[in-house]
Amino acid sequence: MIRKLDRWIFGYGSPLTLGVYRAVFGSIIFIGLLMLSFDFGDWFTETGLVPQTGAKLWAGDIWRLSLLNGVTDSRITGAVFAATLLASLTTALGLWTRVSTILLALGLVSLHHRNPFILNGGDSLIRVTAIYFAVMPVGAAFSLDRLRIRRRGGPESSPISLWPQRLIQVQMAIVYGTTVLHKLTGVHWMDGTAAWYPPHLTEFNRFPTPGFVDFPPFLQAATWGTLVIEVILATLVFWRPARKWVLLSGLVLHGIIEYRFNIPLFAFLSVAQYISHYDGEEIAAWWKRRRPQEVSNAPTPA
Amino acid sequence: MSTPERNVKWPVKALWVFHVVMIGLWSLPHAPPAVLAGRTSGTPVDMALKLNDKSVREGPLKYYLMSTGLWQYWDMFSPDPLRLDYYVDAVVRYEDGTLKEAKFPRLADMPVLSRYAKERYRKYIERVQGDEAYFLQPELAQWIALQNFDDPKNPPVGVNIRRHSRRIPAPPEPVNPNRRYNEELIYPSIVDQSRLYKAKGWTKP
Repeated sequence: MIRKLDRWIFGYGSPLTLGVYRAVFGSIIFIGLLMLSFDFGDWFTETGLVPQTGAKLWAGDIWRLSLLNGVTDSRITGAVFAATLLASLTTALGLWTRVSTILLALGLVSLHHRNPFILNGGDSLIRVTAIYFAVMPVGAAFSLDRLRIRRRGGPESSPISLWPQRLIQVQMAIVYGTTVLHKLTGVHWMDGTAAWYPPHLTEFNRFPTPGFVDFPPFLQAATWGTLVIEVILATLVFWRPARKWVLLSGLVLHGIIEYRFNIPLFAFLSVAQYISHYDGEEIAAWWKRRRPQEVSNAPTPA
Repeated sequence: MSTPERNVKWPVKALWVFHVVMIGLWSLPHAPPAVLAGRTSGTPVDMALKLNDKSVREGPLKYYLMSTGLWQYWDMFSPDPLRLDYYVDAVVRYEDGTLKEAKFPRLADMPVLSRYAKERYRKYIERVQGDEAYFLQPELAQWIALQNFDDPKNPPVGVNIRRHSRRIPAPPEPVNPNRRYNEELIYPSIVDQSRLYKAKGWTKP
C-alpha cells in the first residue's frame, strides 16, 4: 500500500498537466490583478482604505514575508503591483517561467500581506498555488520556454516527478474536504436550509432565478447536494471510474454559484484545479482526438 | 513516455508529507469556544480540535504557514451562511456645521460588470463592520471624509459611519425585498484634517 502510494505521488510522468494548469491559472490571476488595479489607490496606498498601519495591526507580532513591509511610498507599492501583474502574464505564457513564477509568488504574497482585508477563498488559492508554481517545473510543457527550446532543436520535455501535480490534487481535496467539516459545525447546513440565506443578501446577488428554486424540496436539495458534491470532490474524485462524473458535478455546482452570486473568479479558480486530475498523457491524447489533422502541432508531453 | 531510472530524494518526500499534513491540520475547524476556554471538555473530536488549535495554530509550527503566505482557510458560507443583509454609509459633518449623507460603494447600486470588479468593497465592509478588522473603522471614516472634501475652506470635521441592516427570516417565511433596514451608528469619528489637506495637496487657509 505504502509502495503504491509512493509510486502515485512521486512516480514520473508527463509535465503537460502542470503546464496547462499554469497557463489557465496564470491567466485567471492576471485577470484578477487587472480588475484590482482599477482601485489600486483605495487598497494599497496611505490615502486609501488600508494604510500600512492596518497591515501591521493585522500581522501582530508575527513576521510576514513581504516586499512591502513598512513601505508607505505608493510608487514602490505600485511598482511591486505592476511587476506582479506582468509576472502573472509571463507565467500564463510560460515565458522565463522560473523567474516569472518566483516574482509572481513574491508579489502576490506581498500584496496579500499588505492588504488581507479584501481577500476571499479564491485569493488564498491563488496565493498558495503561486507559491507552488515557484518551486514546481511548471514551464516544462505548454509554454513559450518549451517552444523556444524546440525551435532551437532542443530535446523534447522529459518526464518529471508527479509530486507537484499530486500536491495540487491533494490541496483541492483539502479545500473541499475541510469546507464540509466547517459547514458541519453549523446548524443550517444540517437542517437543510443553508441555501436559503445567500440569495437574500442584496450585496451578494447576481442574476435572478425562478422563485420556486428557493423552496422545498429544492432548498434541501441545494443545501445537502452542495455538501455531497464537496465530499465527493475531496474523495471519490481520486477513483478513476468516478472521476469524470464527480468533476462534472463540481462544474454544475460552481456554474450555479457563478450565476447566482457575485464572487469574482472563484468558480473559475476552483474548476481550474480539476485539470490536475488528468494525466498529461490523457490531455495529449484528448488534444490529438480533437485535432487529428494538426497532430504535428499538438502539445507533446515527450 | 519512458520513466527514468531515478527516484525522488527522501528530503523532498518528507517535505511533501509534512506540508500536506500541515495544511490539512491548519484548515480544520476550530474547537468550540467553550472547549477552547476549558469550560467543558466536549466530545473526543472537540478535544482533538483543541489539541490542533493549541499545537499547530498557536505553537511554533504556525510560522511555517503564516510567515510564508501558505496560510489558508476554507470556511466559505460556514459554519452558517450570513443571515444579516446590510450595507454601510456615513454622514459627514463639515466645519460650517452642514451635514452630508455620503455613500460607500454599494454593489447593489452597480451594473453587473462593475459589481464583479468592485466586489472587494463588499468584502472590506464585511470585515471592517465586524470584529475581524474593527480597528480600520477610523481609516474608513478618514477615507469617506477625503472623498467628500471638495472645498479647502470648509473641510469635514467628523464622520459618523452607519450600518443599515435587516435580518433574513427563516424559511419558508416569504422575504419582502422592500422591507425596511434598521439604521445604527457603528463609528462616530473626528477627522484628522492635516491628513486630509496633505492628501489633497492643499494648504489649510
